[in-house]
Amino acid sequence: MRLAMGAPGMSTEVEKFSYDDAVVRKFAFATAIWGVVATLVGLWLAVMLVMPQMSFGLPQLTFGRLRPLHTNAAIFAFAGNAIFAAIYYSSQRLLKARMFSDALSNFHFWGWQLIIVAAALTLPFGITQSKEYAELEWPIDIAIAVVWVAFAVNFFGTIARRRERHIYVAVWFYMATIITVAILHVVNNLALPVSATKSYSLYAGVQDAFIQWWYGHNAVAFFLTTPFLGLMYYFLPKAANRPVFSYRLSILHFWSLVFIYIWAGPHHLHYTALPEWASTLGMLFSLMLWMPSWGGMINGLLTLRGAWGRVAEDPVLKFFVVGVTFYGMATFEGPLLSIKSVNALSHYTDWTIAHVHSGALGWNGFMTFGMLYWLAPRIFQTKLWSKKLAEAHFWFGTFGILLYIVAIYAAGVTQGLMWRAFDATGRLAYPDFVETVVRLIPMYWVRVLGGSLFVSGMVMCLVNIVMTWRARPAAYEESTDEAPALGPYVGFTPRLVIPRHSQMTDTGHRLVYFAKAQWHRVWERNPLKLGLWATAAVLIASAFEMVPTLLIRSNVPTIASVKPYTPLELMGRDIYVGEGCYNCHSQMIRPIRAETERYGEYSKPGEFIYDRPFQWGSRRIGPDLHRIGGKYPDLWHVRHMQDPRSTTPQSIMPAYAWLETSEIDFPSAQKRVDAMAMLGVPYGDAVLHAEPMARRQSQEIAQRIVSQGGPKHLETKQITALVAYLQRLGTDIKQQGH
Amino acid sequence: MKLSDIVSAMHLTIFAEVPLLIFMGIFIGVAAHLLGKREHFSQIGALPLRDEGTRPHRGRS
Repeated sequence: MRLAMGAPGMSTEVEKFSYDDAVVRKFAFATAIWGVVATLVGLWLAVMLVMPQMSFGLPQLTFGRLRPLHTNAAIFAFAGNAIFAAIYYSSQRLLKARMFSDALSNFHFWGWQLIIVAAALTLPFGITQSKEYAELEWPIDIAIAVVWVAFAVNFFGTIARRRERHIYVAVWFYMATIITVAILHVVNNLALPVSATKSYSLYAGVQDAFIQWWYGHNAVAFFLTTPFLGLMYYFLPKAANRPVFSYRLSILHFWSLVFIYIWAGPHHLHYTALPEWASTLGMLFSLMLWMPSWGGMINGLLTLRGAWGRVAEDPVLKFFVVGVTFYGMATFEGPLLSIKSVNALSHYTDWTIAHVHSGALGWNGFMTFGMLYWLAPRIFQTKLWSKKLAEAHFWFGTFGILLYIVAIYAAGVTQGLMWRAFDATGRLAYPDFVETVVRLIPMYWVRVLGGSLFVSGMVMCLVNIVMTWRARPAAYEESTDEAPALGPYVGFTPRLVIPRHSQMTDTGHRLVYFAKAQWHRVWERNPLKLGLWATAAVLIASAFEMVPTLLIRSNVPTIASVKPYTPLELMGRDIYVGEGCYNCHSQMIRPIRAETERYGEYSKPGEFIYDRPFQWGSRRIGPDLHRIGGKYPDLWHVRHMQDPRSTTPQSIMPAYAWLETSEIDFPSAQKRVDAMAMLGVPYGDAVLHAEPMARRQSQEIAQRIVSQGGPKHLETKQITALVAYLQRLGTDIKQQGH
Repeated sequence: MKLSDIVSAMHLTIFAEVPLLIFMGIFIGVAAHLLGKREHFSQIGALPLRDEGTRPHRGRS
């Protein structure tokens, strides 16, 4: 059919095409299923914090091993599948084109689900890199990169075949997500493999911490924020049946976020061994985030102007309104927590956990639920099974989040205040760490209640989706559309023209050209330029922080007495990493009096130069361990790991009894030391004799344990290697000057 | 001379000042672009509402 289209650069031939909703259905199902799994594991973890015996003595069920499973499932399985459903549905419609390749869409879906299954099969078995939200080991990391590239080819291929000249802002947010997540994933996961299940980070100590939190913060920015903003800018106008309040504000929102977010990572490392200038820079850019984040939230809420009356009756709008409100709350609180004086109180406490859950459950969760309930009737081509159940889900979810976060905010502030409290004589008011733990137990029970309500809501959502799917027609009708093909652009294209005989200088002409800002209009219809500038914004910002952090020597002053770990200590460290001890214990004493009084000398950057990966942690469910070496006899550690309540009656730490029966993998000592040596650790003799050195040290420790009245025959058991590592922690600096 | 020698010799404040200037430049550039052209942007802002095509409508809630 030929029509006179009139628009410049549009073909006169109208093309009919269909959308691939099958892949959207798959991702929507996966979202609902993994959402139940992720929140159930979270609930189980919450229960274990009040009833530590609920790990049943099984290594696979300890808090340290399961917590990464919960976070990975929530971020990459639940939120990940949700954003893919959103991207596949909305991009096709906004670009007026079917996805570039159905085969790549299916490869993306099944590849991603396999990666999630691989995570579920490795993390509980202690196979981890121990970098938060990047715990998966190198073979899975490679699989993630391959699937992500397939996704990117499919997405950008669809853009290339689009029939809509202008690229709507939601697609910009998706582009920024795809590009930036690829950069973050590759840079943070660079590691040297030791075996199929073990690797050492290419970065050490301070640099490793910096790179990890550059990644960690921007995983929140570009996996949990930008794609959900794309979702908001598409699905909220659809649900409200109104255009976005201000498209201009959305453009400002996009560029400000893309440019500012990438700088903010160092605010996760205030008062640590990270150089002062980097953490201050991170704080400044975090504060600047207030502006675009609130601009975006207001833009979202004002999109509902004139439609507020419908919010009371429509569960979809209810979820969106609360979701966008939580976006505003979480993005107000994030910069607040980045202020150093606030961070001194909040860091390592449950305050951060409350903040994360208000963002993840409120913003990501509720935006996802709103999208799923809006999508379900459209992709399953039948009525939503139960609007009442969706309403019930909304109220269960809302009260669940509120109970959860209010209790955990209270827990966080209580913790922070108790840690820094001094009595009238100038000594710590609560010198025994467990006193602060016991005080939190009632609040942890309220969290269990709030979590139960939220999980119940998740189950309702899954039931509603499954029942809607069951009422689907015998065969789905294809969603079709028609639009003219996109020809070469023949409209106005701004050019920089400098007349030969002009009163103005060349620079003046250039300034006028840029002041008119016509270049941006060109980018808006040119995905290549838009993508390149978004990439440049991310790379430039990253380089400004990374280059000095990695290259300025004075950042990490070396300490002569700091030596590499012995082969046995290295293997003990790997056990510490595998058990996920960093999930509850930090190894970073801040230069704050309350901390040096409690734990000892503050941590120095030079103490971590052989730490691959770093183990600074991000919260203290238990005390900091950086100066634990030499604090207790070897036997205390053996008894403590066997049954923590035998040494600390009110402890909530799980028992690690299997460490007394599991064998040390002595033959792997050489491979581990060789890998470290390859990364530049000066191992000397150990490069040739790692295994005998490890066996010798193990014998010595086992004999000491026996002489202290402990069990015999521990010389080949994992507990001995762990004791070797723990007794070494933070002791090198004490050798200085001796 | 290595790259680390050059970077080590630079004053650290430059790593904060230059990005702030870059950000200001970008912010002002984008804001200037957004001034005016109201009609153009309101058309683009309505794109999600114009993408329905001909799709099965039965039973939608």
